[in-house]
Amino acid sequence: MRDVLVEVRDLDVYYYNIKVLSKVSFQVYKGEVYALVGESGCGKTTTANAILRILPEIARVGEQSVINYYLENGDCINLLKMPEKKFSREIRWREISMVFQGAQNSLNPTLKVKTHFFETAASHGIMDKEEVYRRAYELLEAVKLDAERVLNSYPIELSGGMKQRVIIALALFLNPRFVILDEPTTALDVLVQREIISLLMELKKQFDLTYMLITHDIALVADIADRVAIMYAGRIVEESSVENIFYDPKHPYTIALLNSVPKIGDFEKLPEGLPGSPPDFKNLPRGCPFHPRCKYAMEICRKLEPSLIEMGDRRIACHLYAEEVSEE
Amino acid sequence: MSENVIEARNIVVRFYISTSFLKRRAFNAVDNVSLEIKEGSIVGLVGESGSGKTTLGKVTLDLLKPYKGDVLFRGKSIYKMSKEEYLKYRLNAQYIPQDPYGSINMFKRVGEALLDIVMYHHLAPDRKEAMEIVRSVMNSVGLTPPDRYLNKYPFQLSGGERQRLSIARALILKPAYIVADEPTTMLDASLKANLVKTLRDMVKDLGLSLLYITHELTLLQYFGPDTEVAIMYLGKILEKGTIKDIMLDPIHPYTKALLAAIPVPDPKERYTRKIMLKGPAPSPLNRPKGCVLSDRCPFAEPICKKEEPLLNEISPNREVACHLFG
Amino acid sequence: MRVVNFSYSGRASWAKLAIKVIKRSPAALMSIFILSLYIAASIAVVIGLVPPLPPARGGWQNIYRPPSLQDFPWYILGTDFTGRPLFLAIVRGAPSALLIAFLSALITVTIGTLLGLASGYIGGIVDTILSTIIGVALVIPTYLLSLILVIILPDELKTNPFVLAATLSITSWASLARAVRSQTLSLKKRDFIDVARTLGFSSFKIMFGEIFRYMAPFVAMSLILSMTGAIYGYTGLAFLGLMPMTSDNWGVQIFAAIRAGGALFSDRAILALWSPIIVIVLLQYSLINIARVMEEILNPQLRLELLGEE
Repeated sequence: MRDVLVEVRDLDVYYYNIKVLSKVSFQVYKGEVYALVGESGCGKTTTANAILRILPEIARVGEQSVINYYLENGDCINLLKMPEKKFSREIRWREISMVFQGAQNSLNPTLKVKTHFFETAASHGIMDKEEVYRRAYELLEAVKLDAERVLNSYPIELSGGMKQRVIIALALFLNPRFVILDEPTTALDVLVQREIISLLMELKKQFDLTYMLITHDIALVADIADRVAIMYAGRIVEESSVENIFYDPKHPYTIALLNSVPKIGDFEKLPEGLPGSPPDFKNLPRGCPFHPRCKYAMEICRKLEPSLIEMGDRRIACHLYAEEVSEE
Repeated sequence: MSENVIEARNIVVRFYISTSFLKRRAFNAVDNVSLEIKEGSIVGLVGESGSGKTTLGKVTLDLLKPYKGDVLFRGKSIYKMSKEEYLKYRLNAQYIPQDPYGSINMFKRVGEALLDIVMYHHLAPDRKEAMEIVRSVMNSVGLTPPDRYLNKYPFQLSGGERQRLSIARALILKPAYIVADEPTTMLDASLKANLVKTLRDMVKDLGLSLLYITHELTLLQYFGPDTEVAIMYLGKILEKGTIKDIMLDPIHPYTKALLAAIPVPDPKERYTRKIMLKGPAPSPLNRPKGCVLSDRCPFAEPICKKEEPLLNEISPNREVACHLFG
Repeated sequence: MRVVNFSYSGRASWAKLAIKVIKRSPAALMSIFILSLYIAASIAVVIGLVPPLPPARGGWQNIYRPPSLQDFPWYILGTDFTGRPLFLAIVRGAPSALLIAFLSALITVTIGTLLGLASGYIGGIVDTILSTIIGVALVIPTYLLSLILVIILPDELKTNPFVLAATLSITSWASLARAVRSQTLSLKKRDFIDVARTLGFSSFKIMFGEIFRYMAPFVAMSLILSMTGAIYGYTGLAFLGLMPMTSDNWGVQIFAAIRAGGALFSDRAILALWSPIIVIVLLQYSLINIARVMEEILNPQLRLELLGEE
């Protein structure tokens, strides 16, 4: 029986009055790479922000939502119900941390790299600069950087790949057990992407980490994920092992996503884009949110939203398969 | 044999970096590169950050002056043109920059920005006809219905819509040559495909030439197997050929490394791909002597570190700069 | 630089915007109200709705008289040390203050913006020369210079509003020029400037049609804030006794009250001393508040957020 590390149940998130996440539920097992996949705006980053409790001020989490986290000693705590002070002292960055997208300006351009580490440490009560420097040095070496040089550089002196490595080192600073990777390779050159991914997998083994990967890059998912959840319009529409998702995709959106990846040798035949436009959360269609763009939409899809149901070793929210399940 | 709309000859672009108070060092972001773009064709310029691809693109648009070398528009050097000739070149050479956020004036509404171009160059006798032109360009790039977008500010548009606006802006003068710099890098996978399709149709319908700068080699496939491609690294072109040849039969070790690194959407492949090049790319200030790849190439021989290999045509339409092949 | 307006809901938006702004900040509402009062007063004086000051009358019973309802409303603050109605004198001081302030601000902002744009965009030798000029202007003690200029100016010129405005803004454009220059330098690097160049726009059009657009809110704010500086300069010079002793100048009124009217020595002079001061401060306060609100109104991104569009 695999150990659950994080359990998200019925997560609802509202921005002002608009529901951007709807009953999102999943579990992440210890030691795995769990991927949340979807296009911009589908809610994957919002989910990650909810776990780390860094949602913007305008966000509200539903009353029934639960995010359970299992500590090393086996205790289970509901992260959503923890007081903020306790959460930021004990959980954020200590148990759970995040690797941000390097292309976003996550590093303060006016501070040297070592100052970033000092500030992170100070906000968690660690004031001994020498100790912080030593630990930062260790981590930067672990991410294969010239620690001495990088520590004394400003972010603008570093290349995209180097910045991403610094962000990884910062995320590992307090020895977390669960790390959320938010688009860790977007906007990086292809050779650098390969190196960063290799590095992340090495670090995972070295530090016994569990990863939640957030990305819109399907190929990246094929590369490192163990289990995959596909999100659309703030909901999980399909979830299964990476092999199932790639070799036997069931949900029409999953199939469409897979078809949109360019493959080598595909001259002239463009990958099929999806017709229609991305969902407008202020005006979601009745029934299944995907039906306006779905090749296989049926009458019932326009009326009733399919719930996420278990079908063997996967979960799927689609009326095409509802009958299969009830027949079992 | 079609003519070259743009030809870059032996371009050297030199940048200076201040290393300390009074000292500065020079490096060649583009080092003796030549490129030809024929009328009505698409050329892909592939490379990673620091390869000089954007710099080269900007030189062909006269946004940067090269230290050495020449750029010809339909056979005439742009540095020796008369005012009328230059104006003709200027209106015929347009730019679609990479970042959809910084490349559009956020304080101008969509309709206003496009109308401005038409009116400034007197392309229409009155405002009504000018708006017709604006509407028709918006339709052709997929910003339909135009009325939905005319009043909006760029920050109200999604990433994909902003890129389309960039394209519309480049097309409105009906240029013969467009440089598109990583137009899809900031977009999701499904949007990438749509944008490439739009550009491809544009080229076909309007007969214009496109210099498509990217680090994503696979996207170039969709312009057709005979699309010409040049691979750049640290300011030099290492390989030239059609996309089909390059993808199915790469020759230069750098090209092979690029192809090996392209992620494949197949879980079975995850343990078969290797990193072929040693170490990270050096800073442009520290380019290795001899061949630019010599410090990282798995096949480097002693000669590679001493002598720079020149681009060699090893078969029709196929050039490689490598000591192993020529 | 043409502003082409596509907004179909133009008028409705501005009204909604005004209401939103007012709801958010009562201080802004008050400031707008106060400023309108001043403007109304100025207009009233200029078109002759306000009676001229009666001749001065000395004598213990006439000076610093307490407020009365006589000749409403001109005696509601009583009289000043010349026996003339205080409130009337103050109202009559409004147009010159506003005019000089506005003119001076206009000169400051125009020169500052032009030099900053040219210096930042054109670069090269032009930038070097202009930056040196800006640097020198920044270092000159503005107030001393204005002082000296005002002293050496012949009286006829001293009362000319344009000349006065120019004197007051002789170096105040410099810090705006520097700010505009640095904004221009950073905007110059953005891709949309490259595109403007490939689109064949002239440098002039790029500076004023593209770059200036980004700075318009900042410049508008600077305009209003410059007015506050000019007002201080203007009334300050008068307070130091350097301006012709006309009675329609708040600074002169304070000066006169203290120097000639012994205001510091008599309780009865409180109103005469403090009224001009309060009137000045109130104007400054309103201007500053309005400047703050300007940023929200003029920046389209903030404006649209305010209106609740996405």
